[in-house]
Amino acid sequence: MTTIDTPTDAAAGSPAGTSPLVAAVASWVTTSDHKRIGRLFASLSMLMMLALAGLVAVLGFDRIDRTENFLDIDVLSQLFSLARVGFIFMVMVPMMLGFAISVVPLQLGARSMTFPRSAAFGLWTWLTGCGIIIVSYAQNGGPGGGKSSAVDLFLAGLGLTVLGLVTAAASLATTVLTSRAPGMTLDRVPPFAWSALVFAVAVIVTMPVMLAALVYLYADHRYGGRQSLEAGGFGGNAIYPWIRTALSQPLTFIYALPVLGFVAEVVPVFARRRTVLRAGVLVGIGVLATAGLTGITQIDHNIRPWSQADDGERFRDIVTYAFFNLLPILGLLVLMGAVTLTLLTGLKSRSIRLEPPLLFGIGAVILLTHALLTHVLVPIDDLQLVGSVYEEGVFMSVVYSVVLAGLGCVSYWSLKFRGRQLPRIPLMLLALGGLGAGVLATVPYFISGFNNQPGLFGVKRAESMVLGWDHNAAPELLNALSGIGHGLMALTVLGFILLTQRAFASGKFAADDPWDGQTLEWATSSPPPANNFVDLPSVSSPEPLTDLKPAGSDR
Amino acid sequence: MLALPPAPAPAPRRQMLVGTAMFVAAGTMLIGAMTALWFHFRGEAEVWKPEKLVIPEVATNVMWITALFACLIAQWAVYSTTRGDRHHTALALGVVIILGLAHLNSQAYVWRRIELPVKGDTAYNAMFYAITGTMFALVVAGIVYAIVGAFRYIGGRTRDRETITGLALYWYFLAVAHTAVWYSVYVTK
Repeated sequence: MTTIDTPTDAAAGSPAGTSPLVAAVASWVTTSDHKRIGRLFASLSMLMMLALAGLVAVLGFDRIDRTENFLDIDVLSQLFSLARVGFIFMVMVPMMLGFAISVVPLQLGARSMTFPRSAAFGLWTWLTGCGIIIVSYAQNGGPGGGKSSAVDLFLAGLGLTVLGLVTAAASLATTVLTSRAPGMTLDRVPPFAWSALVFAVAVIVTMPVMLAALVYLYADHRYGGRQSLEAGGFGGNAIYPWIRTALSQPLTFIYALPVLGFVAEVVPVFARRRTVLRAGVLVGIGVLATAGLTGITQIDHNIRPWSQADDGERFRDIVTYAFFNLLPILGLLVLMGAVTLTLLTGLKSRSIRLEPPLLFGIGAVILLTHALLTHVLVPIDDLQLVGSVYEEGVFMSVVYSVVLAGLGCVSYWSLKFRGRQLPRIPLMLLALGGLGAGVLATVPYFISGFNNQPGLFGVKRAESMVLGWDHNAAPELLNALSGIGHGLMALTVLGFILLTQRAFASGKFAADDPWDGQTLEWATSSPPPANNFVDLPSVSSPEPLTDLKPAGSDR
Repeated sequence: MLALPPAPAPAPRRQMLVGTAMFVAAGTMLIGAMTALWFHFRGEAEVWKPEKLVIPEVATNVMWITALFACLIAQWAVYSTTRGDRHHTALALGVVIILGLAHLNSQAYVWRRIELPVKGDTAYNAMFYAITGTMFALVVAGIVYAIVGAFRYIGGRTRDRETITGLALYWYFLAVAHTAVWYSVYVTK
């Protein structure tokens, strides 16, 4: 079986006698076109992002007053766990997966993705799982839920979600490994495709670990003696500790890997330069992923208070701390070094263009760098940041960096999705607004974390954390600022969705290669035909289109 | 649109094999995590296995042997298809399916025979069903894979060695995974 003999349905018309609406819905539901599957993943996760950003804004405003909550304490606890689970499994992973599924086969010069029906199965399984999770929360389920059957429903829904994501990731990874155009060796794949490969492998390797815990939890919670909830198991009175690994750093960093791939992709295009030290980009992503992947082997890699540890323990603490917390920064530095050099060469030759995708990418990488750098303090026990809002700030920085990168992906590749140009100035304003919202939403958490404000994504019940804590700064102001930041992020996403829908409906038709791109997706029409390419392109360098264009100043 | 020079025909690609390897990686992590959970609980518990529980070891050993044989027979299918021997390939695929069904039958027999309720005083009961149930589901997937491969082969895709090779890889994984489960659940208990 090859991808080439797999028919796609993009050109299929509606059968005679069927209403256009039914035919359109049926064609989307049964599609095996990777571009449609990816767009569905990304669009649905974008909508969920909108809802969740609104939710965290409400929750942010709720804790402005530390003596009283306007939400019921149990509802508050549930909503916070929904936010954390939702951001990972309904937003971050599927959004990056969706863009990768849409774009990567085009970048590779493939006529389709490998196992498109498997990816479609992953999409619908994921969506079903998400629906079940939302229903379970509505019925007081979730990790700390009060209704037993709804908690079972939550476990089943999360299991389905994970299964769907792993299936789609397996198709994506296989595509990168097997469906590259002739001449495109693995070291010549575009940075975004490389990051998508590493990201997909990370999903394949890490998520089944959580699935194993979910299978046991379901059996134990629904039919068994609920040993998993007893003290002496993994502790605590809820399911949260069991899924904590997947929701914590450094594992969340690898779900954000495509952010770096996207930035490394757009900077050379808008600097009109080939990537300087390209190997640094590939190695940097690999190094960052290594630390994240091994993060599933242990949750706690803290530095204990030095007064309570002997020399051997201190050495062990420092080694594990450095591996899990400093290695990702080394990877980021290597990658950003290469990207910055490319940017500087563009600035030096004055060939750089400031366009919305570049702005979104810069915003995303600022937030991700911010998260990586601030995270290094969390495991130091003496600082007492574990369980504080500081941790929450790191998590939200990662989430918002993925969201900004997702918006950047749409602004960069929208031509390949719909063949229409998006308006430049409004998008640039949204990019700046998104970065500002992300900073405003997270920076107050870092200040409040140092002032002992407990986090709400923690293991314990919310009531022990929300009220009655001591704060040395101005908590009301900081919490209000953070709530405003979340609200602005929700507005940014909403504005972006409205803008793109309007442009997709009535925007100007775009040229096939308006950005002067370097990779193969710009060699085909906008939008691409059913099988992506008329002829399979030939590749002899990492920038095959640049090779073909007339030599510019010094490209 | 830029006119790129047409490339030569794409080289044969090992999509089924690589795709199967991806799912095998996921399955390895799944079973690995479950085995780790089993040992974690066993190490923590003062009393682990229910006192009156007697596991029919003949059936569990038969399960292990069928898993080992199934991967050997799957390799036989690969060998036969490489030589263009249609009859032996079809026969080998049929035997893989039968061995898989025998494996499931033995597992069902064990479940029925031990009469262990899922609800127990320790985590043993739920963990037992979680790990053996997951292994059961993975074997079902292997049988479905073998049936699809057999239909494709018998249907005329005799040059499609990728599917048969991927199938063999999957059954190798099942043999290793079941060995881990067999050793932890039925041997060291």
